[in-house]
Amino acid sequence: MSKQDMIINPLPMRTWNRLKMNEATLSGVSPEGSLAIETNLPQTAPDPATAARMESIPGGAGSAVDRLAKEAGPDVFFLKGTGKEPQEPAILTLRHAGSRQTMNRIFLETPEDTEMTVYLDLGSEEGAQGLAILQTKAYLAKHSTLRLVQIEHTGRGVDVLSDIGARCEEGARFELVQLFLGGDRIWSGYETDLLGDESSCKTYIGYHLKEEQSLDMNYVARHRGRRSDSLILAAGALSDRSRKLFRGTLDFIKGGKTATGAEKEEVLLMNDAVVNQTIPLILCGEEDVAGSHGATIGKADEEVLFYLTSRGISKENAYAMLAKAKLDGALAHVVSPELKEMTQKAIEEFYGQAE
Amino acid sequence: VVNPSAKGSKSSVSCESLMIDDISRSDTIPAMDIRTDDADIGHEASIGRISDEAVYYLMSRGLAETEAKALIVSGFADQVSKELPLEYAVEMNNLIRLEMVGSIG
Repeated sequence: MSKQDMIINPLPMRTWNRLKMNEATLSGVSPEGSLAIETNLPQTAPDPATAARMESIPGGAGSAVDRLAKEAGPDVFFLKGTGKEPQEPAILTLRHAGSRQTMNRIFLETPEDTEMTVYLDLGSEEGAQGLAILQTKAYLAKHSTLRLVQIEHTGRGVDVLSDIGARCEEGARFELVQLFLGGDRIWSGYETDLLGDESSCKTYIGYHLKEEQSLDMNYVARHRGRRSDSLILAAGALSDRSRKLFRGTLDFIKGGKTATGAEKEEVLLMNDAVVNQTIPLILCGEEDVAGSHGATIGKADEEVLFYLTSRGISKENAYAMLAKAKLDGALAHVVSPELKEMTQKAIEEFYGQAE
Repeated sequence: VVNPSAKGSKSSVSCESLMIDDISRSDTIPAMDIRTDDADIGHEASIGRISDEAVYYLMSRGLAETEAKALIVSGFADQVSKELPLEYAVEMNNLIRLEMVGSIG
């Protein structure tokens, strides 16, 4: 297919163009093929009705990714929940290799009153280059629960576009933990449609960007159902000359009475050359809701640094500890002990602490 | 926007919205662009409706519902009015009360 330029991660309501935060542009996109997915559980093909339903779920990266998928036609990996926990979590491992552009689509479905946990591990082989596009769509039927843990730790030559879309029916719960530990340029979009009454989504994001890395995020929670609830927590550290843009939107749509939503962001700035951009939106068309947002951005507290350095820890290691704490915050929300151990190992490898 | 040369700068932004009817809309779109690590930036935003408990409390003390809600809205704007000279603050609260009479009930 021909190379194309894509507008991705669009802000649900535009702001001043001169801020250059309304959307991101990804140029020269032309995926050829998909990454192989190693998994511990058998997968099946979605039936046409399920596939159509998944296609209708919007992702946070925008409709450009759906159009690309139609044109590139990557294979769909489908997993369906079968019962209540405890069950073996599904572990999906993808490894980008060579110098290429790839696109993968993963569809997840939890039928009524079922639970499923999925661990998505996106890495790369040494020397890999190119672009890895990963689109995940999730449909949660009534009173079902889906826990998705996504770890991105590709090499520095690999750009990553992650697009997640979820639709929650009545009483459904979607929990997402994302850790960004590698890659060069990363774009991450996420949108949850809280369609059903008392549906909820909780999102925990952790990142530590170094050197010239950039992370462009667009996270949207749309409250349509009554008493729906959302939580978006993003915590991370920026080192060297890295850049980060976080767009977080709570959208209270008319009809979603007594919905509650909260966004919180903590950013540790570790170098004078970093660029941190944050644009948290609260869009409200319904009277009877409660929404809040908080952001804390700055360098390490001088008193905390003094405490650590006075105990023999170098300033460099003290900063590394504080940065790691941001990732540990997201790790704490990984429920499965097995997955927690795997995620902990990925974090320790990132900090060169793995045995 | 915090430029690289704005070392030691501090900023705190708070956006609060109170929804008092079901036809209004509130869209809060703050943006932060920070280009130095030597800055202390905080931001918070909240949106909600008039508390039923607060209205009940005031009504149980003899206020009519419209008066109670007008008082609560006036209190919501208090952080701005207290920065004004007294005459202007009084005028502002009167204007809020007049506006609320038509908006509530």
